[in-house]
Amino acid sequence: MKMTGRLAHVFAVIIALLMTLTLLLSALCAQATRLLSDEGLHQRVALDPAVSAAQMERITAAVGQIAAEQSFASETALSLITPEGLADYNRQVISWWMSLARPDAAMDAPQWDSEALENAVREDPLFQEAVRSTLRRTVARDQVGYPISLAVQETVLPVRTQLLAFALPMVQSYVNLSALVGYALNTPVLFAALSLAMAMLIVLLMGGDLRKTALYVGSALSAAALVTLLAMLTVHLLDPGAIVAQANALLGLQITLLLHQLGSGLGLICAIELVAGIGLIFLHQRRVRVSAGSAAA
Amino acid sequence: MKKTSRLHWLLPLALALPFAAAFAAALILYGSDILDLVMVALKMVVIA
Repeated sequence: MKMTGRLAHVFAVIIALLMTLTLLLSALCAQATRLLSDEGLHQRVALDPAVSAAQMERITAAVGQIAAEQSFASETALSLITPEGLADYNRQVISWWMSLARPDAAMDAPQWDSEALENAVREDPLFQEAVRSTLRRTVARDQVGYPISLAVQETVLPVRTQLLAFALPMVQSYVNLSALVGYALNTPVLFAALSLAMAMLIVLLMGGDLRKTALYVGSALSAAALVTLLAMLTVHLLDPGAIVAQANALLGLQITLLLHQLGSGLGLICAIELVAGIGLIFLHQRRVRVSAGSAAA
Repeated sequence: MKKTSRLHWLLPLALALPFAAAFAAALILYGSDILDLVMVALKMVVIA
């Protein structure tokens, strides 16, 4: 399949252009698969000290308001909402929403267990003073335990879960989400394999001349890195975290942290592509110079 | 024998240019629409 002359180079440029696209898609899909499958990534974001502090601050405010309305000392409830308990609940919620694509997934989000909290509030002197003994159990459950449990859930998962419970079964009836996610997880490898196939095609087009191949493959690698860097810069300037913060400040903070995590992964791929690409072009340029020098001698 | 061409160093830029242009065009043409759509979706799904 050896092609010579200008036509081979035109084809090589076209294939290098396609290879840039597949390399770009491979890098982007790698980050998308991290979003879909990496539970550790989401835990790192949710358990970040800044997020934990903001969650505790929000819960403290909500408990304070409920305590003022239902006459009990807010410390009674807050002593049972520990950072460790909250971290554990964050993990449960992450495991829940990451399993939503499965056909047997539970549609209801995990609830914050408020039983111990209700018992503690019932023993609170201020509460005992304000609420009649016959009503304490009911008030502690309905007016204290349930709203606090809801406040904790809405702080950790500030999403209308009833919408998910309504929409997901409908989507599941049309599409096999689990299989779709399974296919999506293979896309980075698929695009990387396509890129490799295109590199081999360039070798064939250049008649096995690795020097010329290095130029085109190196250029495609560098171009993919440059476009990825441009996309990262645009995302940084658009600041999606600030956009989401308009709807929910805590979620905005988590989106910013998540993008930093994804950005570092993408940055690493970019650096590898750029170093490999520039190295290959350098090899091409050096070998051209060396061969030109030896011809002159 | 072949000459050294410094223009070869510009090939990555030439390959990146169509993607950068398409990206910029999509952002200029549809950026505000996408942002509006995102805001509507956020207000529907996210609890303030």
